[in-house]
Amino acid sequence: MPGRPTVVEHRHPYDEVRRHFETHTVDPLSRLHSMTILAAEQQTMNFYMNVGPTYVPPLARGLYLEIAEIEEQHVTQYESLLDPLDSWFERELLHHYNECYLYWSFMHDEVDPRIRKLWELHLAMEIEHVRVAGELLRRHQGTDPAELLPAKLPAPTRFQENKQYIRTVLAAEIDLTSVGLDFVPLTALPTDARYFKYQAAVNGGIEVPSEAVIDRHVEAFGDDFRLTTEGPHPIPALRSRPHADLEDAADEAEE
Amino acid sequence: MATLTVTKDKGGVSRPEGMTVIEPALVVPLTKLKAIGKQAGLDGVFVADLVSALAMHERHAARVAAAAAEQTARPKRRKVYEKLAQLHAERTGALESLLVKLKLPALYVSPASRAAGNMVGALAQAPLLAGSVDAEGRECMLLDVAFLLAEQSLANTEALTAVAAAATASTTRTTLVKTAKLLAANVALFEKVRALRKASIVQAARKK
Repeated sequence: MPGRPTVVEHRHPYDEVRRHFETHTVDPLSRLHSMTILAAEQQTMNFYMNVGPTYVPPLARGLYLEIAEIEEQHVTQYESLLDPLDSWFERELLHHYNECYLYWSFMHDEVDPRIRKLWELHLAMEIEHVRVAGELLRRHQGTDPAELLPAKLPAPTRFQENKQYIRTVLAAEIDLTSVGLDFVPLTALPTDARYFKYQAAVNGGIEVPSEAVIDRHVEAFGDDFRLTTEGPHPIPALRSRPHADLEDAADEAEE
Repeated sequence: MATLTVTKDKGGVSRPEGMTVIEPALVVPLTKLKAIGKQAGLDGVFVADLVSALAMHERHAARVAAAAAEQTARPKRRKVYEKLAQLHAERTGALESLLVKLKLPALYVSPASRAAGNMVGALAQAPLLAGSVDAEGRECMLLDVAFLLAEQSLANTEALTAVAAAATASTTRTTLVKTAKLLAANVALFEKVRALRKASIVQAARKK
């Protein structure tokens, strides 16, 4: 199901930085979640930036570049949530601690014993990494790692369906953009806002690849490969095939 | 006992500035900070933030001294660093007690406190250049960092004493004076570090 169309996502870099948590008061789970979403966005950005240039067709290269720029925005946004006060040694320790937390969470959720053993193996490796990072922290910063880490792991992250949640967020927030540190409705922007200037500079005068590729797909296959199993798209303007949305829901119900 | 690493679990509280986001339950209200200065004719927010910053300096200094003790190859110097770590930790405890006596949380981390921690953090990076200097240079860097932190502690003690003297008669003044006296009574080790640094430099120069 389409989210915010890529064509309207590009924002001026000044509008991508957010306020950060305060390292002495942050909830351990908030810290871990911030690190996880940052790592996910970093991986995604790297994927689009590394794979894009391997394509020969200009449309594919353009599409990857267009998305890579959005992912770069996301990296900036999530990276800015972390407190810059944290030292390199603290970050190293917390990074491995977060990996432990995630593997431990996956291990909890996994029902296949073979896969569960893989998570266990990775958890064991990360525990050793935590030990090594802790030793570095102790030696070079004089900080006892046990003092920095929470007394016990927070409740595990669950891998579960989130379609309704995503639909709710889309419905409530799709018209938001940001000005400086704050999210604001797009309609609140003056016509000379830097968002529009940036949009014009990045997308102006051409059909952007993310739109062109969908047009090509519809032309070739008759649809835009969306799957809206929970009913019509929550944003009416994005229901390009309203009847098909309903059909998808009906198909899902039958299954 | 002093808390050398402040976290939410241990009771860390703060107040937001432009870029920081803090859980509402962990925000120390400005009214509470202002209150400590009312009777004493002081800017309560400034004083609270200052005491918090002094405590943060001591916390970081205690940890850096412990790291220097771990890294030095000289047994005598290790003992000096260990004593420094102990002294900085005791001072942290004294300043945390001062915050409590001023009716503030012991682990209040002010914006100035964040800056104080960042400053020590930057200094503590100097010995990481160890790969590009010889063993003597590395020992010098460890000692320089310990010396600078000791000098800051000395200067902080003088500043707190002066702030206490500037306050008008009140419980806040009495509390500030007591803590300043307590801190000032035990600075011989800091002065010794200054002498040790000078002697160490002269000794290294003679070897050449």
